[in-house]
Amino acid sequence: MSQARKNVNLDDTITWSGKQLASEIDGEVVLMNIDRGHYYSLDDIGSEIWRAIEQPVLVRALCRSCVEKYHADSETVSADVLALLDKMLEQELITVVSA
Amino acid sequence: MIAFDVYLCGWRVQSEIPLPELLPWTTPQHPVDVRIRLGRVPPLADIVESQRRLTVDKTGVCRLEIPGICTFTVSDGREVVVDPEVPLDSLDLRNYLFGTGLGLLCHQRGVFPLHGSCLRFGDNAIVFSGNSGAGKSTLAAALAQRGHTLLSDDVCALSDMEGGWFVRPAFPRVKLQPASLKAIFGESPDHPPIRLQGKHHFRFEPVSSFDPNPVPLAAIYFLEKAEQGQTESIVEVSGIEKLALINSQVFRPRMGRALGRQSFLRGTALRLAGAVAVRRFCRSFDLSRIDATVALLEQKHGAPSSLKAP
Repeated sequence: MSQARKNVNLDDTITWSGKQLASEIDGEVVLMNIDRGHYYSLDDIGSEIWRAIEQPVLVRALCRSCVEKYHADSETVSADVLALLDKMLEQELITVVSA
Repeated sequence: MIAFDVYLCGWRVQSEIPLPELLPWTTPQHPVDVRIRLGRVPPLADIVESQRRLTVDKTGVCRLEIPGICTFTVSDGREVVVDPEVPLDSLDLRNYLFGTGLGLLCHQRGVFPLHGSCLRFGDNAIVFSGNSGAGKSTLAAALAQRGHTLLSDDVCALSDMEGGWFVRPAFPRVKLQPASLKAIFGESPDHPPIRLQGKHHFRFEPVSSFDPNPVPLAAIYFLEKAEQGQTESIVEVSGIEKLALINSQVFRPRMGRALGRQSFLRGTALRLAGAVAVRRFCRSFDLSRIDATVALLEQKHGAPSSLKAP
């Protein structure tokens, strides 16, 4: 089951989970796990990524668009994006819809 | 028993206890939202939370016991049963019903209760929140004396309706310390206040002119005390700090959690923070400077349309 997954891979398709509530507070996205009531504040790039995954997105495509947008090298971007998505998955803010 | 039929925060309340601060209900076809009746109020069994004289049982019934005044329960957001020890028209009774009682009704009915006072500035509502002793009621009284309409004191009931945030007006009454009363109204106020537990209650307008309709919430100010020699200042709060401030002033949050409202309260605070301006308002506690405080707010939100004679 997708809920049991601990890590996000480049070949996964991910999107917002049904267990989160998000609010944009002065341009900063703050997320909440509805069951736990914990808040997670995202920085500018994290907020951009959050907006980009409202609809299901292939993680590899998400990384590619970040590389283009921030002119960074692909390896660093992939590592950073996957680390962020792993945390989001752990807090049930996102869900893996298919691998 | 005569039932009083009144508005409270937009709800139709029928009460066996007189509630003269509240506007009489006007649309008879509307169902009754809350009934307040007299009855025996035995201690609760299966208590899941207790905080001083307030207890909650596992079915969500809340019971407050104030020796010498009253005991009451609040259930389902629909029923309040009161066992009074003072005359039915005593302000002491209403003091607890309008404070803790109203806060519990909000929690049970899915309305967000923020600790603070609220006034109307033009078409909008402004909430003044902060810790006990931060001067919320004193500022509210000074603004009401200027001609801004008082919408609630102590518990502000906030709801989102049609995509915006609104304050549900409660009543035009405020509780003041005697020193504040004297500073704002001088030695002989037009309407004599009623004394209660070291504070004076003061009503500002005839109930008949009170508008019970929800008012759009424009901003929440968190009141703080200025250092000596500092002048009044308003600081815009942004980002996650807004959330911390709003969460710090939820009315009786432990009771809300015991009633299973934790997720609702945290989520509402999050959505409020995204939608409403939040500011820190630092000002002197010197009551002789209250006019400067009022002037600063009116610079931002406008003076009342018809100023009351000083």
